Amino acid sequence: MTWNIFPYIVGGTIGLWSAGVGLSLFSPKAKLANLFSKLAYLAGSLVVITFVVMLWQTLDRPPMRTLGETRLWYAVFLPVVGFAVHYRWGIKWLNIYCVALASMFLCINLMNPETYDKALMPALQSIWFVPHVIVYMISYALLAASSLVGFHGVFLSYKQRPINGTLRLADQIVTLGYGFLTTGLLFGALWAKEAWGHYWTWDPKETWAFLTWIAYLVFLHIRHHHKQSQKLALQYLAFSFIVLLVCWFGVNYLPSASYSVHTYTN
Amino acid sequence: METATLNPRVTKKHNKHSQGAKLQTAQPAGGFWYFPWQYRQTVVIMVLLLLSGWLLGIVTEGSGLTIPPWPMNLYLLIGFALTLALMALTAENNRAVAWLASIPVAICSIAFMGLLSLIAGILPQDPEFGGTWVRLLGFNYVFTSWPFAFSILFLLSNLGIAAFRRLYTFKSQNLRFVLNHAGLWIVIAGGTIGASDLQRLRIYVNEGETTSHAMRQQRQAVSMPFDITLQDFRMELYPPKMTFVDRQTGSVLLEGPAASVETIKGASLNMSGWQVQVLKFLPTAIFRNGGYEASSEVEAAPAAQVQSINTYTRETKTGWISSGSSFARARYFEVGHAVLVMTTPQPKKYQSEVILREAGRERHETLEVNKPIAIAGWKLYQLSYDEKLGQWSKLSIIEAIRDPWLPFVYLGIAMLMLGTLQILWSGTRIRGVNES
Repeated sequence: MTWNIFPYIVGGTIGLWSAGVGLSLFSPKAKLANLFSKLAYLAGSLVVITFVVMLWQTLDRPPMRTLGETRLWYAVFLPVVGFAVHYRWGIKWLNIYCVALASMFLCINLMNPETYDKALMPALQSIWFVPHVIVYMISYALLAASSLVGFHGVFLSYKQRPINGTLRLADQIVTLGYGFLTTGLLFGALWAKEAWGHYWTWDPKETWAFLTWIAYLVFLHIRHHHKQSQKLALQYLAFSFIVLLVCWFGVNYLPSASYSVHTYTN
Repeated sequence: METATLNPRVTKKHNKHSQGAKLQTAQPAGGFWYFPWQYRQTVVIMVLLLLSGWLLGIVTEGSGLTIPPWPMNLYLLIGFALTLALMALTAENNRAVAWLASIPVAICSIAFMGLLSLIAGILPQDPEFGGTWVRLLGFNYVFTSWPFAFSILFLLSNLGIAAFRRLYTFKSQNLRFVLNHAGLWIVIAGGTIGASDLQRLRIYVNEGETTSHAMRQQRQAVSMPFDITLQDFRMELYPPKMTFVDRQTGSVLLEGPAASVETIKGASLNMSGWQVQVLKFLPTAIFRNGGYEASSEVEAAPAAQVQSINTYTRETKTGWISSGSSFARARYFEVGHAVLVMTTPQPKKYQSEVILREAGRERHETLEVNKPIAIAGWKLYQLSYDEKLGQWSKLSIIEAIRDPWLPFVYLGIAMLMLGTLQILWSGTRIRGVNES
């Protein structure tokens, strides 16, 4: 049984990733520390990837059918995307967030062995499940951070301090978060076609995903064309997060929720 | 800041250079409706559109907008796109067109759609829902109401003209703009105008039977260009769960992850002073002579033999629980002041082994949730079964879907995806106020 060695895999992976995070906290000038940091990330990921490959061979099918298997893919791909964004855009905290989230999923798996062979409900057994969720997790992290930046900017402008730098940071984070949000939305549409027969049916969760998407779309247009309205942009950004939170957690509590196919509990 | 002027040429030139303008409007000296229109005029027009949409909805008694089917909808779409393309050519000289393609219209039309969607996101979209006012204003069918149709038209005009304008003066740095804006236009326009050609039918087929008919809304039979034989319908179930409920009120007594447990041999569940253990689990059983026996008859339901132990007195008691089914009664087991019950098992997987015949060719396929099969321009989906019979169902309900506009919509999705990849790769293009 491959799952028997899982505790060692988790230990090894998290150990190496922690070393990677620790080494990355050195100054950017410490070249050797940075190199070893990257190597540690890579080694940690290789350990968990090797485990997935072994599991795939043992099961003789792609390990994507159970909840436990799904969490392994999060652990494989979250750090990859986090590292890619870090490498391209220098957003170090996102890399650390992704590695921490991946480690959390590994630990959840370790503590719930019964999920290893608990098959997902039929509608969730899809190749789109993992990419859809990963892209959304990264997008929500970026957009949540952007509204923190928004609140910070509102505070700064209240103190009559300059907010140009804050806005530029917000622009970059929102643009990337919006990119991932659009990707997640489109993946969701393609998946819905396979699972429910149509790419868009205005299910309450879809409606709120659409609302979230246009909330950030409006922000980008305000920033592109009304660069002087700095304070308004920051206030708007801080507010947009409310829509995202409703979409994330709140939908199930609205009157419309009983009509949703996205409520997986009974 | 913009200043008021009566000279249109000066105004236009000035506008071009006021890209960094604050989000507020200046009133031209000639009056409210003199160009250039800004946010105030746009908002007024939006409100007028909303009111006339509501009025239309009331006059037409909520019939909403009907889009003509193929090929009329194609002509409409081409006509609309050509109109927008021509309008985009005149945008330099016609200030009404320039307004329609402007940022105030972009932001206001998105907000217009957003407000209507917000209503739909809160209130159930169900013809049975709501009182007189909710129904008159179309709040329970927002997405087929007149105001929403107007908001789409408003947004598509804005998007379309803006995209065509960039296309006419195409430069490589415009690629991202065109992909994202034209892609979105194609997705929304194709999805909206193609809705009249979308067919969702149901095929009801029993094991061993063959059919070439599908049902439209359970009433009208439609002849299909293929026929389908159901060889076998199979279902796998999750093990049922067991939990404690109050004997009087029937409410679940425990909370959290330890409140229920899967009923499998050896599983145990604790409640203050009591422990129950599963001695034996029978996935399909019928009650006979005071106990359950394994059976594969239609009346069979899952059952488990359980033992309760009083943790103080060590007193034990043995009995049976069963979730029951449409044909068999459920059985409970008394433990102190509570009863132990078994929940109805949930389906883990269901599939239909089918033979499809089309133009003399025969295919053996397995239909499963999330794994549709394409045939003769249709896509077949495993939808449901006889829910009363559950795992004993001999009936498979298959959804047949035809959406001739799908390739067009997917073209838009592909363009959006490429535009989004470019966003992720090149990041923000918003420059600081003092840079350009």
